[in-house]
Amino acid sequence: MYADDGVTPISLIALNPGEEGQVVYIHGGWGILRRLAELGIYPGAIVRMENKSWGPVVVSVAGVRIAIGRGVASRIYVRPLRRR
Amino acid sequence: MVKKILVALAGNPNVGKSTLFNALTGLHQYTANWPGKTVERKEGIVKYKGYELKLVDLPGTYSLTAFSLEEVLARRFIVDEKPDVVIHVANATTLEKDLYLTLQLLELTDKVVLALNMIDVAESKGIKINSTKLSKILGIPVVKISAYRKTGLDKLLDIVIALAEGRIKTSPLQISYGPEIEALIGRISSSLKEYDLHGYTPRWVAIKLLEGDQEILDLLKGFPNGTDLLKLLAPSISTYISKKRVRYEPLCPGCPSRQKVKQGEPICMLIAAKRRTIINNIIKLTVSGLKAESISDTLDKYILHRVLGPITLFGIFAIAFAFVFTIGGLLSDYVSSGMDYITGLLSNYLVNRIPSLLHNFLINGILAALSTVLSFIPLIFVFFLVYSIMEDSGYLARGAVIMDRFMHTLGLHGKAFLSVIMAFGCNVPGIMATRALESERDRLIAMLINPLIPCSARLGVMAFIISLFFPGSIAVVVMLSLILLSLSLVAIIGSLLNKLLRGERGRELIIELPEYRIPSPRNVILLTWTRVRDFLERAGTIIVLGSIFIWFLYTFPTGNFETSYGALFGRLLEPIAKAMGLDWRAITSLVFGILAKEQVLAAMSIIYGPDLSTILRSSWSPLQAITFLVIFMIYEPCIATIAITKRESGSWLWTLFSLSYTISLSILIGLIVYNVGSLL
Repeated sequence: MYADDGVTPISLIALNPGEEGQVVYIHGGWGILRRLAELGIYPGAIVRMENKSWGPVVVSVAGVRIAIGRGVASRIYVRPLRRR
Repeated sequence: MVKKILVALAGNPNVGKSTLFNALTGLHQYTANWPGKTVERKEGIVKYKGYELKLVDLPGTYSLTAFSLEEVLARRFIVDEKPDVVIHVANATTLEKDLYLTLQLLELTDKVVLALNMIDVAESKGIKINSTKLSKILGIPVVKISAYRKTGLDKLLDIVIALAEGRIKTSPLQISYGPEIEALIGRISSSLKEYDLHGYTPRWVAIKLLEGDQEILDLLKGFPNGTDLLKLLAPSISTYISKKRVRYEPLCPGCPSRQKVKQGEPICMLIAAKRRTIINNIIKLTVSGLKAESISDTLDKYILHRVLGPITLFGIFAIAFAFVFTIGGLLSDYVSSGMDYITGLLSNYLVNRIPSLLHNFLINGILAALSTVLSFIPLIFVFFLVYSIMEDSGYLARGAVIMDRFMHTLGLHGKAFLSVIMAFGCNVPGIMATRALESERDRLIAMLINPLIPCSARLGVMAFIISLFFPGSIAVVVMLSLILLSLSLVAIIGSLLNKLLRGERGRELIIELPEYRIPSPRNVILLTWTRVRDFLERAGTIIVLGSIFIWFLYTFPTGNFETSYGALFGRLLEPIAKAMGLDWRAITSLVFGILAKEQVLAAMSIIYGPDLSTILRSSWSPLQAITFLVIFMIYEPCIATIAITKRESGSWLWTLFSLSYTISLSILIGLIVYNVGSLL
């Protein structure tokens, strides 16, 4: 399930607002992994950074906006997608 | 004979589930708590074509795997009470997210109908959903509805009835999790065959075990040889599949750099990803239409902005707070003076017509208690009006995001912010506002620390007493220091409870930000009304009984306040009072204050004499005054707070805990303040 194409994954919080990335790996307890998957964030999902002021970051995935605490967000790894 | 059908409403939060519930049931609804829990349970009756449908609104959940209490309650209801039909309410604009719950419902029951709510909104956004195809793939009926516009509701009810009577047959989509995981599921479920799985099927339990579901783990541990069984299964459960190494860049220069990477992925993630992949394919086949940036995205740029966000939040809350406590407070005052007027009339009429004890009981016991309850109604009503509007409009979730970091310094979750803000007005709405919290444990913590936040009644009394002892500017400093003290106590007790209380830890914020929308007036009014009624029915009883008890304490045996049981009790506490530099009179007034904190002044003028200001000034030193205020500020606010703690926590034990810890804490801090202060 890893997208192994040579591009090194970066942390979700490294994305700038408006940029998109494909989730490759999430590091965390099972409870967190499950909750993220319930909301649509799982390896393979395409997320877009919406808002990155202080505190939690806001991303959108499949038309849903989700606020995620920075600690959790930093452990979500994505492969940046080139903007169309 | 009316045919009865039991229907459960399941769905994610923010899908318009309560709008549908309200649209179907109207005024025929009532709230309760799930047995012994803090979660609200709503039920209602729908009469339709000679059928009587009992609707139970399940807690809003994203899945049926135990994350918090809500998921467990929802699935236990489906398994234990076997509803004839489960309506899964999905938001048509976020179908991909919502179908995750559908798949899990289909693993539990085959009597499911999928209601695509907000179809009007979706269509206006250019989203097209092929419901016939969706229905064929999922193997269950799919209905397009708009709860807000009340379209498609009759069709939904027709299908519900047809499903209940078996006239529609379903063939729910069965997920295959792929050869590796299916092999594990097969192995686990065959070793579970001879156990009583509380109504769950072995396959279902096996899947939940692989997902690391806590309730199911506990269930298995409870079996006679449960521990052995779990040990046997442990290797399968913790298996990581598809091992592969991936390198990660350090997060930032100087960060604790390259994270150690686990090999492969935990099974729970593979299961979730499998479901997600299936859903993704279903969406590709059934949904079309591109979504442009919505108004919500544009609004969020300002509302969640680094600088504008907190400013907006402050503005909105200043308005909300002012609205609740000026309009609500004013109306409450009207109710109080109205009640006073009636009480006065009645008192004069009855005074020579009935025995004086009965007269006293009616006027100072019953009517006074009723007046307390009634005067809360406008406050509660306006509070819930504001709360429902904020919740319905989608702003509540944004507030949680903005306040998250700050609330963590208080040992609380971002969503507890409303509860803290409201508590400065009154702890009763403060405690009610903890409903915004998802985890029962977090909610309990927010509820327990709430009494430590000084409400306006306390702030009023404090300001009065401070003004007696300190001149203008110093008075302000004293007042602010006291408030700071209470907030520090909130932080300390909050983090202590966080450490001590078992259950899932206050997680980092992960919440969905719903689309902004204009709240439906009908929805808001109905929600407010059922909550006010609920307050009256349940908290009201406790307040009346408690007030009568306090009345009894301060009337019997002699009918004289100073020689009553209450005063006797105060005298018993004299040694403690002495250690804090106070006497029995101060303590007695404080005990009386449990009725309502503003009553303390009334009690004091009875005990000390009518010219309270002069007497206090001559009998207390400033230090004694501060000690008194500290105790006054910290101990349990009032009977109404006790009643609402019981109502919201669903537990007398935690209510008693709240009462006793605040009293002990107030004595402790009182002792410290007085004795340290004397040394200075």
